[in-house]
Amino acid sequence: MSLKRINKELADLGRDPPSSCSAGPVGDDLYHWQASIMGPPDSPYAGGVFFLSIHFPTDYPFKPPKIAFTTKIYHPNINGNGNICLDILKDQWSPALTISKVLLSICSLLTDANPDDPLVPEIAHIYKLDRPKYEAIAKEWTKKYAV
Amino acid sequence: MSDTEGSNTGSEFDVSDFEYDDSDGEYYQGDNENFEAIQSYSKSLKESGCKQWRLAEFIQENFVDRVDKLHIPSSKASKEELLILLHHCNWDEERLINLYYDGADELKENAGLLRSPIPGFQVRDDFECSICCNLEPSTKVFSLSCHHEFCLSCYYNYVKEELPKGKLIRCMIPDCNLSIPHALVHQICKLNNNSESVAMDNLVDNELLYYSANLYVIRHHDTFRWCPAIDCQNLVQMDLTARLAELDLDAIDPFDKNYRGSDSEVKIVTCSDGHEFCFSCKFENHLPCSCSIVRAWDRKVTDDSETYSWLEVNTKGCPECGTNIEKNGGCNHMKCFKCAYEFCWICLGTWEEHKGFYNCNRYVAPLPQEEKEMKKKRRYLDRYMHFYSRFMEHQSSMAWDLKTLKSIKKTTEEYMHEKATDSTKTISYNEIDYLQESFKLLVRGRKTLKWTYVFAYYLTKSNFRSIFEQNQDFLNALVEQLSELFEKIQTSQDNMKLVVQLRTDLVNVSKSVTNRRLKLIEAAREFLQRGLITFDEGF
Repeated sequence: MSLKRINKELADLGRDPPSSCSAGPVGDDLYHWQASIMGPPDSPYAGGVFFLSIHFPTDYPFKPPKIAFTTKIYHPNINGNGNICLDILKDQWSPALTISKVLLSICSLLTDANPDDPLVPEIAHIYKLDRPKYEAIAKEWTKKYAV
Repeated sequence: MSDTEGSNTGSEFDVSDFEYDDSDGEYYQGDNENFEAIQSYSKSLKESGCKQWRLAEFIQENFVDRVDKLHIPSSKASKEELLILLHHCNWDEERLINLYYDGADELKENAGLLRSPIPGFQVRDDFECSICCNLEPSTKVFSLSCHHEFCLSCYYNYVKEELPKGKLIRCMIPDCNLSIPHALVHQICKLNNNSESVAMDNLVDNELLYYSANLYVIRHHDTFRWCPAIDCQNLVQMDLTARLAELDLDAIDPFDKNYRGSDSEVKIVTCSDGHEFCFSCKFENHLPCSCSIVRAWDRKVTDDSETYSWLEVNTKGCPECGTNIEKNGGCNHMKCFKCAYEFCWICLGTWEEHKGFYNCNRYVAPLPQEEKEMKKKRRYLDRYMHFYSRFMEHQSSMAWDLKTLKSIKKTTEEYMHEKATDSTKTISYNEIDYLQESFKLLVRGRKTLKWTYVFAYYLTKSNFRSIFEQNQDFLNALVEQLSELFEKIQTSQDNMKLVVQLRTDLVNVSKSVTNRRLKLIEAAREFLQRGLITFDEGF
């Protein structure tokens, strides 16, 4: 039953794609997708393109999809393995959410980080105390890994 | 039962192993005067200041009945809504009242009650559910007053995912905050779309209230415990005055010289079905041992340190590749099965140099230090094996005892069944109803006996250890005597006759077992508190 829903989401993404991101299956396996999001213009990630991997559990959409960055990114809520700390990917997941909505939430996480609930405390520390330094490093990483 | 509770499952001596269950003992009814004295004594010893709950009673009293105690007029909020508000406030009526009078609308909005929760279940034609994307000619759907309709089976799957969190379940649309009432959650779980039967009267087996109780127990960990026995859904509540200080059991070092096995550490409680367990560490009744001793033992048994000791004492490493080799026969010309290196078992020198004869026969005295070290290790290992094997022996004996009882029970049941038609069978219920009680005392005795070996393992040598060992011997003898009596009944030709004949013996011996058991525990506690005995880890 999850296949039907995943197919539907794929069709919807093709019909009405969000402006700043794209997503689709990697190969024949519909449960494994790749997605890309463009760095939001009002953030230090502007100009970069970030790739993510998406794995659907077999009981999707009742369990959240597993989403991780495959491009390195300097962000308080994203760690070195690309894991994302985002409530809707954990306990705030709802079956009514879609990949498209989740990707948009990730975009807004890039604009507005959540340093009070960090995955990488060191980055959150810099983010809070020395914002220009954080922005400089994030820009540098974007240039290095995402352009 | 609970996936968040840190129970001791997986440990080698879990509380529920061979736990004797009272609940299936309804067959043997009647009062047992013989045991009352002992029972009240043991009760006063350990059951002061705790309350037993069955899950249904707990839900009724702590959740459902609380609704009636709120002084909020029913014109302002229905019972169903009050239950949601209470759930939202974690069943804290004081907090609810405060929030309610600070701003009823805000509270209602946060609790998901901005609009009353109907409409409920409907049947729709040609409905495409946006969750599963199924399009059917006729679909059962569910929604709240927000009219966010999804098919019932998607709601079922959603509710099953949300339930274990123990919190209110909301409409599936993330921004829509409406809460699904408890009775409707139950109906979704039962895939029952009959809208008429939404009622407040049967909430004790409500799934959402069950998981909420689970969350409640976790939040009130200082006073509440689930019974750790498998499939037991009872709760034990500690009286606030008798409440335990939250113990950091890892921080207590029983091998400290000043350790007195503080009294607050062990608090044995019994659930409504007679399962005994320790309130602090959730193990079975492990008296006379304290929780910290039990933990030290658990660590020792679970980790592999003793395996390594065994390897060290009983094997030698191949001089070439280091593989452990146990010599179980044959001559001293060894060939490693891994690297095929040939060597002499005695001197560990290469076999080439031996040239077919043993030239390592000449005695070279081993360094005294080395020899001493080896002997010490062997002694430690022997000691551990001595206590460990006895501990495990009693563990498995409990299972055998249970088998014996089951077989006796079967016979008596058959007998009572035949009695209806056979006038030669004259034994009445009264004459056999003692069996169950005696058996319970046997299991308790054995359990205590089992833990005395752990106690003794860590006990340093002293005159008081001798006294303890003597107590242990007495208990051991009585437990075996009682166990033998049960076996005698089971193996005899006419077991019903024996059941009646041995009645006095069984009652007397089981009484003595209990007396001995309590004396032993008391003595151990006293020695410990007066600082007469100490424990040592380094054996």
